[in-house]
Parts: sequence; C-alpha cells; structure tokens
Amino acid sequence: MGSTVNQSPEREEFAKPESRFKSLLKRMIRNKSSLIGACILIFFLLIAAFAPFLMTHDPNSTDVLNDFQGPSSENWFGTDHNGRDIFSRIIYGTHLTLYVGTVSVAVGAVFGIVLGLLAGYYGRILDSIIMRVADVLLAFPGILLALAIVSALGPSLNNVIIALAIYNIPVFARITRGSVLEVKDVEYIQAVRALGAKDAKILFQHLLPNVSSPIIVQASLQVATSILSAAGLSFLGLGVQPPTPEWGAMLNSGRSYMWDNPHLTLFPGIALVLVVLGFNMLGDGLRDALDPRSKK
Amino acid sequence: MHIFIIRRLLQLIPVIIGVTLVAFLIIQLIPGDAAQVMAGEAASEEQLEQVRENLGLNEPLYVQYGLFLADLAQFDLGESVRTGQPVMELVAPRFWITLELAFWGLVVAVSVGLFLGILAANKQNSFRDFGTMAAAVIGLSMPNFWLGLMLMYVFANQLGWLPTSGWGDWQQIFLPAITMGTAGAAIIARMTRSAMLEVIGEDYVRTARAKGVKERFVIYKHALRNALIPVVTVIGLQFGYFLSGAVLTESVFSINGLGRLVVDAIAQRDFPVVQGTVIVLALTFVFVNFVVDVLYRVLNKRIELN
Amino acid sequence: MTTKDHTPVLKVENLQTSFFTYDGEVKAVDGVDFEVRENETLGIVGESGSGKSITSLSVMQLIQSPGEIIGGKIELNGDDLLQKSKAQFAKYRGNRLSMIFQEPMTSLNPVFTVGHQVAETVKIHKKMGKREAHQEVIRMLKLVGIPAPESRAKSYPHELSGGMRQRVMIAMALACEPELLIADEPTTALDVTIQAQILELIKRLQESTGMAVMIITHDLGVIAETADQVAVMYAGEVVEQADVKTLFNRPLHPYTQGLMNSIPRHDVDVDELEVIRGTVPSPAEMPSGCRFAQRCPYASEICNTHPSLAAPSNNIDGHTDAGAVRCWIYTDEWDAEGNPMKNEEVQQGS
Repeated sequence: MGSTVNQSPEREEFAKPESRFKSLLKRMIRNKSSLIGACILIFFLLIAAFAPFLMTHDPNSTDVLNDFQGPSSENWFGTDHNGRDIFSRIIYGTHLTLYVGTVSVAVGAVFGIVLGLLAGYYGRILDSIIMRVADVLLAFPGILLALAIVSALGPSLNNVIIALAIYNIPVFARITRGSVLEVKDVEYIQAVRALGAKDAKILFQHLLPNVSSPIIVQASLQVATSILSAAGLSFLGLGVQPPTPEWGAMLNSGRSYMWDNPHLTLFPGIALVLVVLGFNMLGDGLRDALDPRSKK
Repeated sequence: MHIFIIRRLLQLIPVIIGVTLVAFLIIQLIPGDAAQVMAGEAASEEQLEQVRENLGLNEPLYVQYGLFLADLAQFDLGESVRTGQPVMELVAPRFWITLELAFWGLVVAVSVGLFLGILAANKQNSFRDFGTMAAAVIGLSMPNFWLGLMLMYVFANQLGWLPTSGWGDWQQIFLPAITMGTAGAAIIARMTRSAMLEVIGEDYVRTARAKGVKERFVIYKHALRNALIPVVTVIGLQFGYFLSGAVLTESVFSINGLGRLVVDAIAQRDFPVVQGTVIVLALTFVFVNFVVDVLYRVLNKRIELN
Repeated sequence: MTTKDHTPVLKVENLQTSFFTYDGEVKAVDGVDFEVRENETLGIVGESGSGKSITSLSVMQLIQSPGEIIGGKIELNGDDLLQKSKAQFAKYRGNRLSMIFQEPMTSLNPVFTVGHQVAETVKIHKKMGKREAHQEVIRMLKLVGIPAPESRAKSYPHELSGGMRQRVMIAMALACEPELLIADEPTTALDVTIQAQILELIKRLQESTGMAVMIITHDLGVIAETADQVAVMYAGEVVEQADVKTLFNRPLHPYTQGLMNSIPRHDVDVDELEVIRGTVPSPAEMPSGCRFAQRCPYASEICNTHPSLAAPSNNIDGHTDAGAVRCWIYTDEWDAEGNPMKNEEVQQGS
C-alpha cells in the first residue's frame, strides 16, 4: 500500500473535511470490494435514472394472449402471468428498490445519529434512557419489528419505509454513541470545549465528523439489509402492492407459477441480489479502507 | 460469575417490559378504529362492541397495559379474534416447529460457516480465500425467500430429490435448513476467517509450532479454540435472526410454524395472535442473547489478563 | 574453549532471510554465520531491527509469510535442516531443538492448562501415554522450580505470574532434552529479580544436560552473565564475533564499542553515558558499503565498500585470539588507504 497507509491517526482524524473525503475516495478506489460495489450501484442508479429510455415495453400493460412467454428477443426476460414484460418491470422497479432502501436508512440514520450523539455526549440518565429504548427495539430480531409495525399500519410503500426507518434508528444510535464515547475525551474535543464552544457546535461540527467513518460504513450495509427486508415484506404481501412492479412483489406473484415458469422469479431475484451485493461490497470495502487496523 | 449472571438478569427486566410494551402498542398504531379493522367492514355495532370488550379497548391505555401484563404473567396471551382460541394454544405447538427449523438452520450455518472460514483463513489471500469470501458476500446478499424458491425449483421440481414443502419428515429438513442457514453461514465464515487470522498471529500459536505440533493441530487445536470465542457471539445472534428469518422460510416451504402463524394472522387482522407471536419470538431472542453473553463470559474468562 | 574440536551442535552458514513486502525485499538477515557447541552458550546481541530475532526464528523455521529463508545452510549436529520437509522438521522442533520466547504472557495458549501444554510436547515426541506424560510434566515442572507442581499443572496461564510462565515455557522446551535451546529475549519482559532467576535456571539446566544454548538479547548484561561466545548483529549482519571475555575486554567494532559505552558501569565513573548517534538505516536506504558507516565516528572513504567478517590483522595491538570483526579499521587496507589510526583512539571504549 502507498503513502496514505503511513499517515498518523491524528492527522487522519483531524484533517480537513475535503482532504478526508479525497483520501477516502482514493482508498475506496484502491479497495477492490468497494470499487466493484460502487460500480454495481452506479449501474443501477443509471438504470433508475434512465428507466423511461431503457424500458422496451410499458411495465404495466397487460397482454393476456402473450402470457408466460420465455425470454426472447422481444421480451428479454420473458413475460409474466398477465403478459407484462418482465425486463421493463424490473427496470421500472429499480428506483423503488433504491428509494425504499436509501430513504428508510436516511431517516433512521438522522434520528439514530442525533440520539446517539446526545446519549454519548451527555451520558448519565439521558444515555441510559436512549440506550435502554434502543435495547428494546433491537430485541426484536431481524424484520420482526418492521413486520409488526407494517401489520398495524397496513401494507404500503410509505408504511414499509416508516417501519424500516424505525428499525434502523437503534442501529445508528448504538454505533454513533459508541464512536462518540471513543473520541469524546480526546484532547482536541476537550480543547474545543475549554474554549467555550456551544454544545451544539461541539456535537455537530466537531464530534460528528470524527465519528462519521463507522456511520458511513454502517449506512451502506444497512441499506442492503433494508432492501432485503423491504423485499421480504413485499414478498409476504405486506409491502408494496401489486400491480406496482416492485421486485419483492413480483417474486410473490411469480412464485405461484414457478413450477412451469421459473423466469418469473429468477430475474427479479437476480436483480435484487445484485443491488444488495453492491451495497454490501461497498460497505465492506469502506470498512476495510477506513479501518486503520486492517491496512496491513 | 454469579454476580455477572445476576446483574445481566436484572438488565433483562427493562428489556422484557419494553418488548411487551412495544408489542402491546402495535394495536394502538392501527389507524382508525382498531375494533373495526379487526372485526371487518361488515361487522355490526354489537360485534364491534364485543371485540372492544374482549380486548379491553374501552379502558384507558395504562389499564389496558396493566391487564395485558397481568395476563402475560400467567402465560395468557389473550384469544384470537377470529376463532376465539387462546393464543397460547396456537403459539405453543408452532413454537417448537420454528425452534426446530431454526436449529437445523443453525446446524447448516455453523458447519458450513466454520468450514469455509477456516478454509479461507488457512490460505490467506489465495484464490481459495478470495473465492470463499466472494461466495460469502453473495450468500449474504441473497434474499433467503428467493434462495428457497430457487432451491425448491431445482431440487424438488427439476431433480425431484427432495419434497417441496411441509415439515416432519427428515427429507423436508434440507431445503428450509439451507435456505435459513445460508446467510448465517456467510456471516460465520467471515467472522471465523477474521478471528482465525487474528489468532494465527498470536505468540502462543508460534509456541505450538515451536513445540513441533503438526500444522493441522496448530490450526484446529491451538488456533481454532481461541478463534471460536468471538464466533460464539455471532452464532448466538444468528439464532435470533433465524427466528425472524423463519417468517419467510416458513412461508416459502409451507411450514406451519410461528412465522406462518403471524403472517396468516396479519392477513386476517387477528392482532392478539400477532402480538402473542411477536412477544414469544422477541423474548426467545432476548433469552438466547442472554445465554450467549454468559457463555462468552465463561469462555473469555481464561483469556483476560490481569 | 576445550570443546573447540568437536563438531558444532548448530552450524549456520550464510543464512539469508528476507521479507517480501509491498515496498520490496527487506533483507532482515543477510549472510549470517555462526556455530554453537555442546555445553556452550552463544549470545547474539543487537538493537531491535538488527535481525537477531529473525535469525533465531529462521533456525526454528518459524518465519511466516511474507518472510522466507532464501539462502544458506543450517546444520544440527551435521543434519542439514533446510533440506528437511515440513513434516520431518516438525519432528525436530521441540524435540532436538526448542525455543523460548520473550513474552511469557502471550506465549502460552490461554485456553489450555499449563500441564496440558507441557504434556503435549512429550506426547508428540516421546509418544508417551496420558499417565506417563503427566508424570513427566510433574517432573519437569519440579525441575524448573515451580512449587506445588501437581496443582500448578492444572492452572491456566492467566493464573500464573510472568516468571512462573517463563518457567513453564522452559519446562516445555526442555521436556525432550533438546540438543539446542534458543532463548529469544527470555527475560526482557520480566522483573529484574526474576530475570536473574530465569538465567540461573537456564544455566543450571544446561550444565546438567550439556545442551547448546543460543541467547538472543539486546541486553549486554545478560550476555555477560550467560554467554561463552558472542555475536554482535547490526542491520542483518554479524559485525563482530568473539568469546565473551575478549569482547568485553576489547570490543573492536565501533558499533560494539558504542554498545559498551551506552551501558552504565560501576567500575568506572562517568558523568554521561554515550549514545550511538543516529538510527539503524531503513532497509530501503541500506548503504552498499559498511552498514554502520553513517553512524560511525571513524568512517572514511573505504567504508563505502562493504567489509567482510574476518579475523583482524591490523590495529589490534598484539591480540591474536580476537575472533572476527566486520570493519576496515582492522584490515591492512585501512592504513594503505591513508587512514592511519592510533590504537588508543579505536579502543577508547575498553
């Protein structure tokens, strides 16, 4: 590895934001995992952005006479039980998947980070309360909490996002708090404090940038998890409702016809695996790039 | 050690209360009239009143929660609004099925995960290492319900080797267990690999080599024993995730466990059943984590250098 | 030395061990020769980074990737060790040659009892059964001076003090009566009082078994106490080799002199301890000539050429049994190059 490896941790931690970003970018490019992950994600972002130009058919136009067609030059991924073009539906569904994953994580992260900063910085009772609540929410394994919330709110895209955002809050609160506790007492922060900076300024201007690395990594991995969870909820019929071409919902409706027409479930599943893989690889790569211990 | 266990048990109390509170509040989240939602559009005013009466919805919230807790303390999870059956009766037999399913999933996850993790760590940065870790990240990225469908298509439909669905026969274990265990195997493989790599650099591993211990025993005896300690935690967590993963796996393979129960209950708006299932699953998770914590502590005690 | 005519227990010739890193090859050990005889202790002394530890690990073939022994010969009683297969050599380790390490804290496996770990050695090499091995463990623990060996054998490493753990390490290393014991900084991590005990123990055990001992240390005090022969290492090379008396009475190499001057002495009153200027050159900027030249107070033109390790023939004031030194000062070329040097100047350290 090159010169960035030998930088002292102090320089790393307290460098200016721009150079931090630049050095992060450099390391990302050097790290194969994050590079591949980023490429996959850019690919899907482009698909989502240019979906109208990429779709070969109207994703929602049914053609009963033309149902269950296998992959062909006309319908690249075949057609479903209503004769809709699966390729176009997957293209159209891309933005939904990215949207659900990123928005639920963004919302969860904002609340989680603020709560984590408060808990870590002020400690004492506030810390206890916030972390006990987080413990409770994390006591619901996997998608169980989201499942329970959606079951009450009713199935819809927004409710899935709300449920997943709530599920993401304690994850970010915990990780932020842990990082804050690590850097809170370093001399730099104490110096800023001694100079009489306001708490809000310390929290957001000084602490937050110094704890951002693990949060960024977690965010990427969490988007992957959230996309899987959202697809799972849709698959159970609790998420986005048909005929919206959401991948999980497509898998749910396709499973009934799977015996004779596996392409109904094959292609949306592959798309799902690739997007999730992109976020996972990006997150893994970022973790390796940002973790000073793994730079052997 | 006893003090640790007692302290840890005391810490569980607020979590358990919190879990019941969250489960209790599910009904409060229902937009509009909960009784109407549960009883259905066509319900008459008497029927609605009946539902409200049964669920205690007319009482103030804290009274409702008090009653809820009081019932819970007697292992009473209420009754199904659909069939009137006690939720406990619905939950209990299915709980064992789900537990059994999670157990086999764990067997797959642990055996495959440990094997691959050691394999990768043994030859760090080799093609084998790279291939194993690539497989792991793909396994981690696969929706388990989709994997289940694909396995079912290939092994049940195309090859006809294994039954498509159901639970009870030993042949019916394989596909759901693989479906459940794949993501866990990926996580355990990654964790095992990094733990092994860390341990392999330790002085005592060098000592073992200096003693003339065969390389095989250096890895499987001296290194692995130590590497397993952090892996235990991950295994425990995995078991918890299997409980929730069961929801999807049971749906794919038509297994009549807690997951099916909760999904069906949601479809029928049978909220007491939803609440009961969620509480049972969450408390099981809490309990498993507690056991893992204690176990980790026991295993780790010897290592702590004072 | 009376054992001089015997074949050496350990004979190392032109040992070369390199690490292949991203920044290129690092020659950690670069052409090292030495011998250790029966009942004799060789001390290898040098700063950290001098290659002394890598030398000892090379003899045990415990060099891990990206390190590799790339050349040389290591013979144990005439047996060419580098020609052995991995499995063959594993049978020697802990049996014919064994090693104890610097960190007794971390060198024992935390998840096994110390009795188990000592027993493992005899089970492997002496094919002992469980009961027999247990007897042997107790005997060994007693031998290395561990009180209540029966109950101590059941202890886990974290229950023992550093000194006790090092005794366990020694018991483990000597259980199969090896021909050679390598001790890599065996006392560095221990309290001063414990240090003396451990060195005493090694010496006592050597006397009873006649094994050859190699002690690797940065501490000249340890050398003075234990060694018969001394090799001084610097930047991957042996720069001076002599028997311990000669070395301490008359250190030849400017580096050895510097080392001697940097330790406090109670027979001479000095106001200030000298230190050697500068640091060991990094592998990337290793000079092609004498590796110590940059830090050497006597460096001259000729030092840009790499000197070889040889018996001194110049500027040594009548000493003949002076071992070998890697320095131009003691060659005939030194004066020929127009570098006259008074003996007193060179030997100011002694």
